[in-house]
Amino acid sequence: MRKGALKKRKRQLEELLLDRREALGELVLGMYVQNSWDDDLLARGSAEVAEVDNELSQLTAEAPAKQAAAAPAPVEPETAEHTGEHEFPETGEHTGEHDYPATGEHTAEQDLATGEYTGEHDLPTGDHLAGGTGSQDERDTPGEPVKPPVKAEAAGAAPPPAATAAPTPSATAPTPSATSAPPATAPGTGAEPPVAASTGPAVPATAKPQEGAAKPQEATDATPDNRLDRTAKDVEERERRARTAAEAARASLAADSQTELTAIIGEVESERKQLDQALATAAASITASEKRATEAEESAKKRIGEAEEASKKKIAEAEARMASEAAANREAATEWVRSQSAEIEADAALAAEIAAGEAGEQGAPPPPPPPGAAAAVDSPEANRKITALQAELAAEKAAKAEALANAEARLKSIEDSAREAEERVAKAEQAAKAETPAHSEAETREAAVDWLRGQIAALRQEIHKGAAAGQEDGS
Amino acid sequence: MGIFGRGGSGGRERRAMRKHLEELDDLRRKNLGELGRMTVEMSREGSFDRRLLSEKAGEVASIDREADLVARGIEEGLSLEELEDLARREDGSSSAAAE
Repeated sequence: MRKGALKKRKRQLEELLLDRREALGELVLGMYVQNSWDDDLLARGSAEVAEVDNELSQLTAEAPAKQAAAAPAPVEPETAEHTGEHEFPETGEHTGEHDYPATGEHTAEQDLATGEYTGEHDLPTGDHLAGGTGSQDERDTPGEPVKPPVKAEAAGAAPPPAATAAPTPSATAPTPSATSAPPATAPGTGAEPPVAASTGPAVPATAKPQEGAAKPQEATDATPDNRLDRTAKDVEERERRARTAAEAARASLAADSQTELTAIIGEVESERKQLDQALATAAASITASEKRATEAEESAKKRIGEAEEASKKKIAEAEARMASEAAANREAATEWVRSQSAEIEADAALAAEIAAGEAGEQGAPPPPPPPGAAAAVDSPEANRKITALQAELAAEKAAKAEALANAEARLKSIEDSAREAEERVAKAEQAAKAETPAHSEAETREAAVDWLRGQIAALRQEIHKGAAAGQEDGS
Repeated sequence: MGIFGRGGSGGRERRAMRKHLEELDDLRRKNLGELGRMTVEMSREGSFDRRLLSEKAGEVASIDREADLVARGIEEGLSLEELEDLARREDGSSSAAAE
């Protein structure tokens, strides 16, 4: 690579380094303004700057060695061959203005301010304009294409015309349109300072081409070259990408914060929805459990009522049965007592008749005795028998009276027991109502009824025993 | 502020404003480059000192504010005195807002 190319490359890299540093500074500024620091983004931007820095360092280190190696090489013939007009198309596209966008944003001085396109690009044009008239035309009409054939004739002309022709690309710099650009784009928005910054160095930029044109050696070094153009385009492209990346980084930073805010809002809303759903679910479950509890309570009450009714019914049945049995027993006892009384009365009547017969024998005529008894009455044996019978009758009377008294006492005790049993049943019912569940209450009542049945059975046995004893006594 | 001389015609003032705006642009670029260089150095050291970065970025932000003010003066055709008054008002409002 020749010295000029190296210089150009070095300048381009320096320019790229500055731009990237500025872009990184813009990035840091954006983070500062938004108070949102992203170390990764900073590291990436720093890496890009460091990459260019390394490349520049490499180039700086390589340049002296290459220059030393390339020193003896004949430069003059090649310089003569590769003058500016060889690479220039006939259309004149590659004048200073042609790389500028059609939007008019980048006026000539904006790019010249960087110092990139000073020696190489302008001096060849100056060589071609050395013929004389072309340079004046170029100054007067900066936008018109250069005519290479005319300039080719003046390839060997002296440098002074080149010096006058050098500012051609930047000749628009002092025009009112260029200088009035900052106020037109100045309204105080955040994007304005960069624009103003690009237009700022316009004044010094106009001087640079003149300095480059004053050195013929640099003019020869600045001969257009495909590789150099490619490198220049490459560097410009990288520069553009770096700027785009910086802008994208700024935009992404803003978008990130917006996106983060949106995400946070979304999360909050979703969590609120989940909370609402959870609350609704909890409320539904509470309502369902309350409903179930109410149903269970109602069913329990219903069962308790049914059990109470059943137990009441059973108790009523048992009481009715017990009452009927007690009445039957009383009736039977009364009947037995009546029969005993009738027997006693019959015996008493018999005894009275016997006594009347004995009295008749002594005073009044006795009633006619039974056919078998007349002989016995008269005899002493008959008297003894009567006496024995009377004694026996009296004893039987006494025994029956005692038995009757015992039966009455027994009946009374049974009635007392029945009354006590009823009281116990009543107490059991009250206790069951107060404490025990329905089924245990029913069991208690059943037990009381069984006990009553046992009592009744025992009473019947007692009555039967008393009846049997009376019959034995009677016989 | 207080950077401009008093008096003079409107054209002179505008030229002075433009010149000052250019100076501010240069200063801004220089500070941004310095900020980028600091960031690269911090990246090489493996940690970013946000306090230093914030200080430097604050300088750039103040330059931006001043440049905005000057651009506004150019755009609205304000005189230097008006611009200075505007700057004082804005300084007062910003300090009040900061308080």
